[in-house]
Amino acid sequence: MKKLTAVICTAMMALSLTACGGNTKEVSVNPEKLAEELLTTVTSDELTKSSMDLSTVYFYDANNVNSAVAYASSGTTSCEVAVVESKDASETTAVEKNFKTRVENQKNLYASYNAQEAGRLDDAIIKSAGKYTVLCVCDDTDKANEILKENGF
Amino acid sequence: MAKSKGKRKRRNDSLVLQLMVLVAIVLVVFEGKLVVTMVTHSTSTKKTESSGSGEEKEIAGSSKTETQQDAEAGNLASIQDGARGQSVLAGLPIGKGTVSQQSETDASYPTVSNPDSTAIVKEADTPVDDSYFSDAVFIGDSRMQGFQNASGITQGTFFTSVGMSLATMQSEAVIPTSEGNVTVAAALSGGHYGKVYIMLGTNDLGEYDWDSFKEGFISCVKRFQEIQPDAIFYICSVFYVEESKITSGSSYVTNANVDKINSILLDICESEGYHYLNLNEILSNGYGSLIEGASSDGVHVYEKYCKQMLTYLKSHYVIADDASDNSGKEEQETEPETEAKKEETK
Repeated sequence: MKKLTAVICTAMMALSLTACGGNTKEVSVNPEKLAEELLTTVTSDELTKSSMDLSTVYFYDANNVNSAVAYASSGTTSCEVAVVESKDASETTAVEKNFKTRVENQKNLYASYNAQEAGRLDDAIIKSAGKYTVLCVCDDTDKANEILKENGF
Repeated sequence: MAKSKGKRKRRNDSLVLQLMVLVAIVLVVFEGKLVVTMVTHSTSTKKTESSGSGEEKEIAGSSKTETQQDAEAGNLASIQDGARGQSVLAGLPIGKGTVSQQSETDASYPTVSNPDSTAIVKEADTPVDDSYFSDAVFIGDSRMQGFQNASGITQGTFFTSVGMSLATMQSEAVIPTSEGNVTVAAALSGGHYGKVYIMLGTNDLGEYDWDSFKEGFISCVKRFQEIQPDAIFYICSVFYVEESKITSGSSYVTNANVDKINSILLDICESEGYHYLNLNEILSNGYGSLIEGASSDGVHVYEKYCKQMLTYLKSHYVIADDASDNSGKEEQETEPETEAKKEETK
């Protein structure tokens, strides 16, 4: 009985070590493809792929980023989709912070300009997995979350 | 015999206890974060501000019903201008099919109050390319922000803000930077620019004290000139709205008011030496309104028209010596790198 208990305890220890995951799990996505998939969740506007240096829009440190892609509105709505691939998973926290600041700023501006858009920003999705961070302000957040889940988020 | 059995029993109990303590320590060390997250992360449908740490941070909202694209045109809310206590706006119904001032059969509706004004930037012989904008700064409202997002421009610095009005441009900290939000003037102070483009006025169409608007605009842009004394200042006209698509808000957003504010902007350019970019040359339908179908909400134009605006800016520019003739400043002659010059050097 005692031996059985010892064996069970040892097995639990071994299994608990294999359960470690979250941001350190291996996630590999194509940012362009993921952004295009997330675009399908925006139905009230036509977003355009940004041609600007995105570090000037989101203020992340470009030295810590491999690639970034974003789609934004021509002004009709607050919808936007952005995917940033950091050089290391440890940098995603900073990128998330940048996205949160972006969303807060937009929300404050839209609050007195267009209440519906300010409400949309309340539902903004900001997620990280592996080296990737996503910002999605869209019409169908359920679909967006499904897409992200399928991609390892 | 009984004693040795007892001792063996106590040893085994102690061994099991030690193993269990070891398991508990391992669980706390490797899975403690997850346990804390599970306890503190109360719902997975909270707002964007995260409260705790966790291996997977999620900020998601509840699902929304889809909105029809046409319904977006009807959802522009009034903007309360804190400084003036008026409702100002960027979209509004004037009445379907109404054309201000001119007959519908007259397709030569003038898009400027004084077509012969020397302040209006004429089309250049050779367009410039994106590099012309490398030292340019673009200041403006959501329409300027839409231009940034959808025109395909790759150069330039943008200080834009949804809902920007004269009051906002003068004194509110609405321009995001890496160090937080600052005023337009503070943002301008952070760099050296050769060109300043200003697109403002759509959110001031409810301003009936036009003298006050003119005075405030001049004062504000003069301040910008002090910060950027070497820059060429371009003032973009307010381009027309598509009135049939504007279904909510105040009664101020009309193409008649667009014409009014543009005549003031042109006056300002003439008196102060700025350069007027008449965007209605390409965005007017010929009857004093925005091209039909150019916008979903009557105010913000689609990507195609943002690209046309960029093409327009590339073909409407001044060179420094022409700029100094207009403003009275003396500058050395520099020519922008045109596409023709690039061809010559190949």
